[in-house]
Formats: sequence, structure tokens, C-alpha cells
Amino acid sequence: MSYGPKYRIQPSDRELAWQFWVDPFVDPSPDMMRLLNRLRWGSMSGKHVLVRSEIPGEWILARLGERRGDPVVLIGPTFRDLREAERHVFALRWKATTGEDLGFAR
Amino acid sequence: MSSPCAGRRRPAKTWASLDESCQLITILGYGDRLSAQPGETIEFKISVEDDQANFSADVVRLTSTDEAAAGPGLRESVIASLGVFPAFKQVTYSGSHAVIPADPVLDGLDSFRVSILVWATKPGGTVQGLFAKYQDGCPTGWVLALDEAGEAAFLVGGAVVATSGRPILPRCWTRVAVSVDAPTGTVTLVQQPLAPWPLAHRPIRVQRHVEGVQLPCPGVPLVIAGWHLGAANGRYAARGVFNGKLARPRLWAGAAEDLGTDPAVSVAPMGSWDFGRGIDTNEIEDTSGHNRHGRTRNLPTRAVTGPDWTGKTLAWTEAPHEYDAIWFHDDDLDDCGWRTDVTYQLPANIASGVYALRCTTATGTERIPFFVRPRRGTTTSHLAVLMPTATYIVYGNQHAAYDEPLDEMMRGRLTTLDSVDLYLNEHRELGLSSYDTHADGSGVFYVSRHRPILNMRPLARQWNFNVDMHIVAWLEARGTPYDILTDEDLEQDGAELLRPYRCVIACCHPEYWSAHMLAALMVWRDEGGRLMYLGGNGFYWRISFHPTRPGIIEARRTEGSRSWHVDPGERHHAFDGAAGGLWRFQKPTPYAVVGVGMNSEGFDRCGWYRRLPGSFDGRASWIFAGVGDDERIGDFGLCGGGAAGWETDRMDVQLGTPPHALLLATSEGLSRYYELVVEELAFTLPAFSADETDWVRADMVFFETPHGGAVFSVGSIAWSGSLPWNGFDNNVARITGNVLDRFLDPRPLEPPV
Repeated sequence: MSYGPKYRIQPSDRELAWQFWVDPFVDPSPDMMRLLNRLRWGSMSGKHVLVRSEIPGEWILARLGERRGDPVVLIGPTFRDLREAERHVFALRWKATTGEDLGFAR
Repeated sequence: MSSPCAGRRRPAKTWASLDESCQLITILGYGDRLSAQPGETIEFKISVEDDQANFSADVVRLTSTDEAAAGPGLRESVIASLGVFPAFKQVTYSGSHAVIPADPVLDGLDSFRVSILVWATKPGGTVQGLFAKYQDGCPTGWVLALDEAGEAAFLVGGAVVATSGRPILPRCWTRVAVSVDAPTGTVTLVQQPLAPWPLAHRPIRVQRHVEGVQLPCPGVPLVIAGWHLGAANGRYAARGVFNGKLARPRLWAGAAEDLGTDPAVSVAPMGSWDFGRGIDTNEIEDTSGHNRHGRTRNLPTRAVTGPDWTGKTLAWTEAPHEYDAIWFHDDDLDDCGWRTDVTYQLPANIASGVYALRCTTATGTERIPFFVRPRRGTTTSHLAVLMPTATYIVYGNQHAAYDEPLDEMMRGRLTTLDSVDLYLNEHRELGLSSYDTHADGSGVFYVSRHRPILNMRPLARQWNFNVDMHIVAWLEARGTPYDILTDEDLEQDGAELLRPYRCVIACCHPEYWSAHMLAALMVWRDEGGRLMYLGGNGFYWRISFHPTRPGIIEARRTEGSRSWHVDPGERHHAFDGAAGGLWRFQKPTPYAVVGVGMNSEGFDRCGWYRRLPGSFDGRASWIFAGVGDDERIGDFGLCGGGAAGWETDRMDVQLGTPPHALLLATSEGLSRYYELVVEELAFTLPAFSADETDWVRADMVFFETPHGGAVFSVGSIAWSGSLPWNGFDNNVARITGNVLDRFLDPRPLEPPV
């Protein structure tokens, strides 16, 4: 039996999104945890991950393959700050889930 | 807001391949043992994955393996240059199956019947052999199989000649049988579900006529759960490996029209294999009287419920006939079976320590760690560091980061992959960890070190081996002599291994313990040994070592914090019949051994400790010499930025913590990602994260043991990651050093009156 997230993102969650945007590593409140779980709990097929670059301290945005064992696909960009990577993926997932641009300035 | 860290921008780029942008693994290998004594020889097997013609090999001693910017870095010194060796790419054949050697009678068989009971877990997609006398690619020979549609099928010379026309029901015992009459070319195929479900119960019987059927396949063995691919390096390999359970394979000479009932009741078979016998072995026994015994390959799972499991017992040892099935997986692996490329005889005077064979090509470097213990019966120090090699093996080649949907939620951070992950993701043939599931979704019960274990490498992810090396680096930095021992040494030698030592350090995450290992530790402890448990989530799972093959471990995760479930009735280990699961629910509990037991985990970041009244008690105040009363302990470190976290333990007298134990300190600063583990809960309730309950915490505990011994436990994996901070000058190192110095002092530690 498969299972997955059921929470529907609310307009009021934009305030939580902003809190995350300010510091992606902030200790989440219960409401923020629910939002983050909704966005993080995706299928493994094509899930966003970070791959360590051959350049020390650099990470490359990538997606997992379609099926178990398929190669990881690098899509970029690169990051030297993991907080910035969290913001980038958060915005992608927000758009994919709500259909709206997050619209926060970097 | 504008980003404070824009990062290094590259021009627009098409991210076409990993090898342009990432350091990929091009050379890998393993040794035939993890622990060796001076004078012994280790055989190393090396595979070079690219077109390099040679590799050089030397032996290095490792005293630090951390690449973190704030860490001590990689510290290795060459102790022997072994030369240059020709490079080869070695091949691994995973997938479990059973092999029955060919014989003249089987080779000459042209009309026959076969019956087998099938419980398929991943039918469809590929052809999966059930019972075969066929070598891959040959024009003759036969395979009883499930085809790409998951239907029972019969193949001759690799071509399908009959199918049932209906997919087999997953996880439903089904009898699949075939009768072949060579002179007439008549093939009769039966697919008969044994479950009582009304729609599933209808048996299927199809008959086909095949012209010029060529069945004999001389010299090729009978294979159960696949078909013969060939033999290399003395090892058999199979193709078309089946996923699921099989039971009661039987073979009769001659064809029969009626396969609707099991013909075994009336006609003596030429072979009848009872998987309920020899459950703790790699043998399959022929009970037909013809002695066509066989062997399993790549360790399929034994001690699983058979078609007639009644549920009256949960232990296969009490009713082995109800456990007459074997669970095969196409990704099982017990041994890569690679040829030996480098042999190294340890010098007679080599010091006990952590070493590696370092193999280098122009495109990559592989360091294969091994551990040198003192020669049996000798020591070179009063201190032993017990490297938790059982834990390293169980975690070996873990795939969770890219297979487990909840991994990112557990860590509270984006999943990060390194070269090890990228390689393992695409090379499942190197076998799984016990944290993984097989391709059919079932849990991995068996793990082996007879393969490259790429996540037990210097410079790899901060976990287990590389965190334990912080302890080694700290001992080196303070100039404290030490001997290195391993779990397998303890399993083999028992308490005798530890008896010469005043103090033993259990490392950052000694999670997996056999009954024999644990009994030996307790004997030593209660004879006056002093135990420093510098970790978290230790003494947690019960394991069993393979009875005849060192380096292979079984763990059945029946309860507790686990990544898969055990099916009903399958909690008992095949290797020794022991009930798998947590030591918390058996004897001794981790609380009884080290005063604390696992209670939480979180991986976003770590916290610190705060002293409690117990730390000011005269029995233990010496531990905090040089540490302020209100000082935060370990609010720094290489593991999540603190000494308390990742996985944490707490004390509990009701669960076995000795009543006189002193609670010295407890953690602060753990985040909401730290939740109470499931074994602590009777009900799930929404109030069990670290920001809501002090049930979630890491406790630092001290207690005395008989004959002047004692135990000091920190209850946190991350503790050791704080030792190197600030050039090993910090309050975590100070406390650890105070304990170590006192534990090495022969004066007894007197318990309270």
C-alpha cells in the first residue's frame, strides 16, 4: 500500500515560507514542519538532491533517476552555501505544488 | 532578500554527465578480512573500472580520516610500498539461487515432470527462472519460469513454448508444474493458486505441442530460482533470478497427463528438495533417496514461512517443516568472489592500529581499511579501542539517501550525495546494507564484508568509521598508547580478548551485538574492566554471525527504529535460531550494559550538554576537573556542530540502568527533528519531539561495577566528533581525557557503600 502527503498548502503558509526563506535552517515551528514535510515528501522519481562537485565546497543541483538505480542527472546550478540550495529547491517545490511563483528575492 | 552567499557562478552549461563535474569512483576493492594479527596475510581484490593499465599499492597507517575544514584532516603514513600491479575490471554476479550438480541421469532426461510452490514478490517485467536445466544462450535445455507478464511459462532453448495466460498472484502460494513428453512434443503447464480466495483459486492447465523439442543440456546443473549462467573463479552465477519464496521443488522421470494434483503422493521422484532441512546451512537436501543434494548461492533467506505455516509457533526451530521455503532475491550477494590481486603479509613487528591498503591509478585512489590487533595472547597497551566492525558491515553500502522517500524529512536538509552514493546507486551488484530493502521491497536480513564497502572509507561521509577515527586521532594527539580490536575478534575470542585491558573504548555507534560478543563484554566488565562508551544508539540490535562463514551477519528488525518490517512468523534468525530484534527487549538491555539506551535521533544539527547534580558527587566530580559548573559542554564539533545528537541515549533504572548510576549531564538544544523512537512509545501521540518533552535527550552517565571497574557513557553519536575541535583542546576532550586517565589507573573505582 502506498502512502504520501495529504496536507494542502494554504495562502497563510506564505508567511511560513518567508520565515524559511530568511533562514532555511531555523528550528521549524509545528506549522512550518507540516509545510516542509509536504514539500519534502515527494516521489523519489526525479527528486531534487545535491551532488558534491569535484570542486571542494561546491554542490550541484541534481535529480534522481526515474527508477531505482537509474543514474542521477545533474541539472545545476551550483551552490557554495547549502542555505541557498535549500531556498532554490524550496521555490521549485512551491511552484510545482501550488502552481504559483514564490516570488521572494534572493 | 538578497543572498549573502551567491556562490560561484558558472556560465550556462548543459549538465550532461557526472564525470565532467564530480569525482567518480574508478578503483575499488576489498580484503579477505578486516582484522589481522602480525604475521598474517591479507588478500586484497581490486577492480579498476576505467582503462588504466596498472595501479600502485602501498600500505598506510591511518590516524585521522576527516576532511572537514575544521577537522584534523587526513593523516596517513606509508609503512610499505608493495609495487605496481596490472589492473583489471572485476565482475560481480549478485542474485541468489540454488544449484544441484549435473549427473548422467539428469543429463539424459528427456521426458519429465517438475512441480514447485511459488510465492512471488516481484512478478513481471523480466523472465524469472523457477526451476531450470539450461545454460544461458544454449539452443537446448529447459526453464520453468515466470515470464515478463508474470505468468507461469515453460521455455525450451531460451524460447517460450507455453504460458499460463494469467499473471500469478503476488504473495500467494501457487503451485507451478510442467510435464514434458519429448517423443510427442507435448508440454502440459499448470498454474494452481493454493490460497482460498474464490477468484484466485481456479487452476489453469494449458497444453502445447512443440516440434523437435530439445531438452537435454548435458553437464549443466539444475538451478532453482534462475538458470545457469556459468562459473567463474570457482563460483556459479545465475541469470533470470527469481524474487520471492519457493518451496518443495520436485522432479520426476516421465510425463503425465494429469498435473492437477501433486503427483508426489503416488510416484517416487528423482529429486525432492526439502527446504525445511538444513535451515542454518547453505545446503538443500534431497529427500528422494537419490542424494541429489545442492547448495544455495549468494545467501537466499532461510527460516521463512512455508506454504503450511500454521502460526502456532514463531520460531522455526520448533517447527522447521513449517519453514520449508527459501526467499530468493535478484540482488542478494554474499561474496563478490573477485580474484586476489595483492597479498600483504603483516610484519611481525607491526603496531596494532588502523591501516589501509592504498591503491592508486592516474584517475583515482582507493583506501581499503583494515585493523591490526596484537598477536593473540599479547597486548601493547592497557587500553583497547573496540572498532565496531559489525556495525560497519551492517551499514555497508547503504542506499537510503536515494532510495528512501523519507530520508530528507528525517534529516531536515536536502539530500546530499557524494561519489560513493553515485557509484552505489548504479552498482547494486555490490550488495545492499541491512538498512535497505531488496528490489522486491523486502528487508535485507544478511550482509557481508566480502565485497567493497564503500561507505567505510577515509574521507567518506561523517558516519561510523570516520567518526570513530576522531577517537583514534584524539588518542594520537594526546600520546596515549592503544591497541585496536574489532567486533569479529570479540566474537571469536570472547572475554579472553578483553581480559588483559584495564580500559576499553566502545566507539561512536556500536549498534550491533551478537549474544556472544555481549556476554564477553559483560564478563570482562564485571571482572573489573572499565568501559568508556563514547557513542549513541549502542548495544541496540541483536545479530548473529554466520555459523561457518566469517564476516557475514544476520539481523532481523522485528521492532524498534527500523527501515523495514519483518513478515509474520519470521523474526528468528536462520543462522542460530535466536529471536532477532532489540536488546532492549532481551537480556542484557543496553541500559544494563552501559547505563543508557537509545531514545531519539535527528540529523539536522546537534546540541550540547549541561552538568547535573550527579556531576558534583564526589564519586564522579573528578570527571569534570577543569570544566566550569555552568559551562556548556560540547556546543561545537564536526558532527552537526555539537557533542549531543544524531542518535541519543537516556538512562532508565526500570529498563536496567544500575540504581547507583550517576546522571552527570544531559543534553540541551536538540531541535524538533529529534523525535522519540518508536520502541519508547506505547501509543503514538503528537507530543514527543525534543522541543516538547525532555524524554528526548542524551544522558551522560557513570557507575561503578564489581571488582573496581566502572562504566562511563555519553549517550550520543556526535560526542566523538567534538574531540578534535580547537586542536583537541576543548571541554569534551577534557572530560574524556579525565575519564580515560582514571580508567587506566589501576586503583579500583570504589562503588558507594
